[in-house]
Amino acid sequence: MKDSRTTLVWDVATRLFHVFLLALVSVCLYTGLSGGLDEMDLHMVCGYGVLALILFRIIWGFAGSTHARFSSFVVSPARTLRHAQGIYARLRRNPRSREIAPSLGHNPMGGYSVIMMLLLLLAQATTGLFASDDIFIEGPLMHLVSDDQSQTLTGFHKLFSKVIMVIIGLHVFAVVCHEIFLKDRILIPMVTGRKRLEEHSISDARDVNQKPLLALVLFALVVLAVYVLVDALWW
Amino acid sequence: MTKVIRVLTFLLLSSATTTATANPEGEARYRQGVMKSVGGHMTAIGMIMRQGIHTDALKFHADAMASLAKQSKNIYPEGSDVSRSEALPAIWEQAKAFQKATQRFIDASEAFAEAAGSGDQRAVGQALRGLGGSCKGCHDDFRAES
Repeated sequence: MKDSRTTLVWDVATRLFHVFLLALVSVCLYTGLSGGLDEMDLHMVCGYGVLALILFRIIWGFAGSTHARFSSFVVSPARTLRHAQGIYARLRRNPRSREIAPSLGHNPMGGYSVIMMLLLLLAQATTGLFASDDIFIEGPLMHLVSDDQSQTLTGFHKLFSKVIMVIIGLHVFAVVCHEIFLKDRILIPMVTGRKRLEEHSISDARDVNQKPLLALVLFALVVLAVYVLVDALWW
Repeated sequence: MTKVIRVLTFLLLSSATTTATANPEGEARYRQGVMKSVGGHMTAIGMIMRQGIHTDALKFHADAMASLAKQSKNIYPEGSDVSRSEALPAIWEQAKAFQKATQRFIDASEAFAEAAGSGDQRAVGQALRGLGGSCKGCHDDFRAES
């Protein structure tokens, strides 16, 4: 099983987070855009799920393994710009292009896109709690704000959904670019967690410490917190 | 003969004046009241359906909804398109489509009232979906986005 030429980059919690986020956000988009009564029941439950996942990922960004930590992939704007120039040069097949600094985890631009997606989905899940369709569907915390404020937040919720669709499109486009044009295999590792060392011109890397038990406990706590938020605070 | 013409002219003019309202603000505020009543009954129906309380009042709210639905076709007179309203100009520009949407609301609310009277839970749920759909259909096309 353990291949000496690969290394574990993404811990199991980060990978599961990614898979479940993909699933729940897909369901949320489908049900939210349809807007039917049954669909919206599912929409709300999946929205709570997204909120729990995002909160967990934020905590995991401090408590998780090496490449899951924000400190490992949020780098200076200057380095990000250099990275972007490197990719641009590579895509233009400029022979004098500088080497792109190898990164096992998120590269500088990818890191910022992670931050942006996390914040956007956090805002989306949060505004949804206060939103209403003005017919039958009410977010569980709608009573904490005035009708006017709820309408405003509903407006943001609808606006963010469009932004999220654009961002997902860009995210998929970026992955395709890495896979096809940059020959940077990032799709499979996000599922298996392992990357081939030789592809990253890195000779030695240790497997990350997955800390599955810590992840499980943290996730359970976050689910409990979200449950209290949407159920106990309902009126 | 002149009398007949005079009467006809009067009828024609009066019908024309009733379609274009002389009190746009009053009309807009009135229909907000009617639509808020619709929303109030919908909230009550929602609590009955979701929380299982006041189940014996379902028929009452369903009948009220059906009465309000019938009134909904009278509350958008020509000329009541005031700027502060969330009613979109499409209501008057696409009068035929709007009339269809209102009729859908009337039919769906009557079907819901009937289902509420039958006490058949499945039928009530199904009719409520139809009712919610008729609200949403009209809001999507004829009401300003929040």
